[in-house]
Order: sequence, then C-alpha cells, then structure tokens
Amino acid sequence: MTVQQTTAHGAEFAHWLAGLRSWAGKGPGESTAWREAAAQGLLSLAVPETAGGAGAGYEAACLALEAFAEESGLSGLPFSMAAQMWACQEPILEFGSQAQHSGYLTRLTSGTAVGAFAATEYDSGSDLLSLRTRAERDGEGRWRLDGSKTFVTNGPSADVFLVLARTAEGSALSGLTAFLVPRGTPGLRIGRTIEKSGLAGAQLGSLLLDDCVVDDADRLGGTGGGFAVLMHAMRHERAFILAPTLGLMARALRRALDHTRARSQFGQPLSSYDTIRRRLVRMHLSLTSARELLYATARAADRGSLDHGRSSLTKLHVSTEFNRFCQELPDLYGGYALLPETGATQLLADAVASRYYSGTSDMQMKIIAEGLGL
Amino acid sequence: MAEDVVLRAVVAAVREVAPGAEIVDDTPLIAHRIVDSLSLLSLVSLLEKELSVTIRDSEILPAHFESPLAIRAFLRTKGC
Ligand SMILES: Cc1cc2nc3c(=O)[nH]c(=O)nc-3n(C[C@H](O)[C@H](O)[C@H](O)COP(=O)(O)OP(=O)(O)OC[C@H]3O[C@@H](n4cnc5c(N)ncnc54)[C@H](O)[C@@H]3O)c2cc1C
Repeated sequence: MTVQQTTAHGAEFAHWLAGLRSWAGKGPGESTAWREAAAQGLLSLAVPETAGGAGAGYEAACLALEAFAEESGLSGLPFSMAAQMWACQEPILEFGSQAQHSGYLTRLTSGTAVGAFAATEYDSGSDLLSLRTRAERDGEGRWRLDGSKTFVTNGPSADVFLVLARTAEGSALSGLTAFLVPRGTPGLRIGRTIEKSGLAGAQLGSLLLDDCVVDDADRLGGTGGGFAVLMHAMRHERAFILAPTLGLMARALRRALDHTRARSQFGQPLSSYDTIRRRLVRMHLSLTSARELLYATARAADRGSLDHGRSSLTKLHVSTEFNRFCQELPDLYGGYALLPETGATQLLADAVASRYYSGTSDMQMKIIAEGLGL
Repeated sequence: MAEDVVLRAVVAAVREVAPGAEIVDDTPLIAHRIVDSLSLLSLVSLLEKELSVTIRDSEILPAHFESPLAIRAFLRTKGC
C-alpha cells in the first residue's frame, strides 16, 4: 500500500490511515516494524511529491505517527522514525543537492536506510553552539572531521549521520557546517548503545570522529551554513517530535478508563469516586489541549507558516501536558502501576525524556521569551 | 536621495531584538556578537512580519546578516 497525492483531509488518506492502524494493531515486531511502516509510506508523507514523497503534509505525517504509536503501543520506534523525519530528512530536503536527494533522501524515506542527527556533544548539550567537533579542509578538497557526538538517536543502527561540525572560529552563527557522513566512512567509529530508561526500542549512541574523511559533495548546505541547517531541523523537530505521544496518551487513557470501570473497592467501581474521575478528566484535558495545539501547528506549517516561537511553544506545551498526564496515570492503578502491563511507569519515563530531547523546556522558554521581545 | 525605508525598518528591527546596543547601518552584528543565535531567530521573524517577506532557513546565512546594510542588500534580492 502506498499513499500518494493525498492530504490529511482526503478520503484516500483516511483509507490509508485505517490500513496503517490495522497493521500497527497486529503488534508488528520491533525488528521489522521500521521497514514495514516505511514500505507503507509513513516516512515519505511530509516529503513533497517533487522530491519523490507523498506530498501529504505535516498534519498527515503527525496523524500517522500518532496512529502508529496508539495502535502498536510502541514508543521508542515511532520516536526514532520521527527523529529521522524531522531532523534528518527535512534538512536534506531543504539544503540537499539533487545528488543528495537521490543518494540519501530516497533511501531514508523508503526505509532502506536509517538516518541520524548528530549535534549534541558531551560538553555541549543546551549550549549546543559551543560544540567542538572540527572539520578542516585538506589539500585534496575533502573534509577531515575530528570530535565526538553523543545522545544520537538511531546512532547504533544508522546508515547516514547528519553531523554538525565547526569549520571556523568565532561566532557559531557563521562557524558551523553540516555534513552527511555515511556509515563505514573511514575514521567514523560508532559507540555502544546507550542504556537508558524510557523510550523502549529507541536506540541512542555515541560517535567518534577520528580523522574522518568526508567528500565535499557530502557537505549539506554551504560552508558556514550549519546554523541554518540546525535551525531548520529544530524548527520541525520541536513542532512535531511529540506526535507519537498523543497516540500513547490516548491508548493509556482508554486502558485506564477500562481499569477504573472494571475494578471495584468498597463495593463501588473506582470510576465512581470523585478523586479518580477528576484525574481522568485532567488527563483527558491534557491530551485534548496537547492534541489541539500540535495539529493547529501542523496545519499552519502545511500552509507554509512555522516560526521558531511556535515550534518551541508546541514542544513545551505538549511535553508539559504529557508530563501532567503521566503524573495522574499511576494513581488510577495504585500498586498495579508498578506492573509492566499497565505501562504507567514506562510512560512516565518517556514523559521525563520529552522534557529534554530537541532542547529542554528551559531552552524552549528562552526561545519563546526572546520571541516576546523580553 | 530618498530615505531607504527598508533599511530604517531593518535598523529598527535589530534595535528591537538587541535592546541597549548602539546600532548604525554598518554595525557588525555577528562579529560583535550583538545578534546571537536566539536573537537572530527573533530578528528573522520580525523582518518577516514587518516587511511581509518569507525568509527560508537556507537563507539564514551569516553573510546576509553581517550588518543592517547586509540585511538590506539581502532583502533587495527578495524584492524589498
Ligand atoms: C531521548 C533523547 C534523544 C536525543 N536525541 C538526540 C539526537 O538525535 N541528536 C542530538 O544531537 N541530540 C539528541 N539528544 C540530546 C538533547 O538534545 C540534549 O539532551 C538536550 O539538548 C539537553 O542537553 P543536556 O542533556 O546536556 O542537558 P544540560 O544542557 O546539561 O541541561 C541540564 C539542565 O540545566 C538546564 N540549563 C542548561 N543551561 C541553562 C541555561 N542557560 N539557563 C537555564 N537552564 C539551563 C537545562 O534546561 C536542564 O534542565 C537527545 C536527548 C534525549 C534525552
């Protein structure tokens, strides 16, 4: 099944989405789900038809990520796919040459290659623009990259890495350049998978670049244009990376409703107690407001309007509401919250992670405050 | 010579995102770190709003934002 020439509001997309839901509901295996979802066209939804995608837009892509997470219950996999879509595919789409489109983008969207975005370093987290990985031109016009990266989503398995490196001293606004570094490039060493809590199924890793030689043809955007590449990735990632969490919240709410109706204490179903009902209402409110804002942002982006303030606002709001939701969730289960089958503590760990990836909540506030002229 | 209203709008926008800094037409904004990563994004948004232009991420290049005059020259390429 493929999805073509469709938008989030068309009958054709609705039909496609129902097919995706049905597939995801069958519980696809984690080892094959990426390729199977890609084969159905999930990764190419937001890519315009002119670049070989479905041209269905951001809203459609977010609906698909949400549905995939909701029906499968997987959290790390849709997150990892979203990370590729927004931080790897989008910049290649915007800044890539024709050769980079056909060499990388097509393979990424079809699921035959996995992409990763490598900006963060051990000493450069929130202070990302202080990153130290260097790229220098050698006598033959190639680039030699030295440094290390960490917290790279998809790092352990990726076939291509979008690496941000410093090519000039002084302001990071002019001193950074982006490169596409294929796996197997001499001097690129891929570290072990980082153990973590939350986002089960998402693989995070580190990279070591030790005199890693990259062709000039693999520079993404102009020399000194790395800041623009970074901002392009973040503008999309912050707006849409949390789309799968909407599906996870919807799933958790549904199951919590079932549980509180089915379990009785003191001769009454839990769902009859005000304490429980208020929690469920607050969770419903969190999900609804998160959903409304994310899709309003996606629809605006489909009309060509997505500024950084809006992206940050969306990331901050959805992650905040996701955290509120997950604070309430365990109390509906009591001691059963600790059992893996409720998924309550796993989701809480996912919510904690959402406060940090794509820039912490504090950093989103800074961007929003700046936009307010503060 | 007629006053360049676009240049005046650019200078006003830079002053808004970098309050307190002395801004003239050729002030080096990036080299003197008057505009940083956050204020550059605000400046782009402000220019888009004030001058009804769309600035793509791929156009946020240092050369286009070196000074108010550089921004003016860049905006001219966009028909402003
Ligand atoms: C699941 C996950 C996936 C990720 N995937 C990727 C990826 O694919 N590619 C990539 O490049 N990176 C990735 N990251 C890294 C992520 O972008 C960083 O974790 C994030 O930017 C924060 O940096 P840090 O963790 O070093 O925290 P720090 O910067 O050390 O921050 C610690 C705390 O201090 C606060 N703080 C820091 N500076 C300030 C300040 N100036 N003012 C106020 N408060 C401040 C922060 O808000 C935070 O609360 C990922 C992270 C996670 C958790």
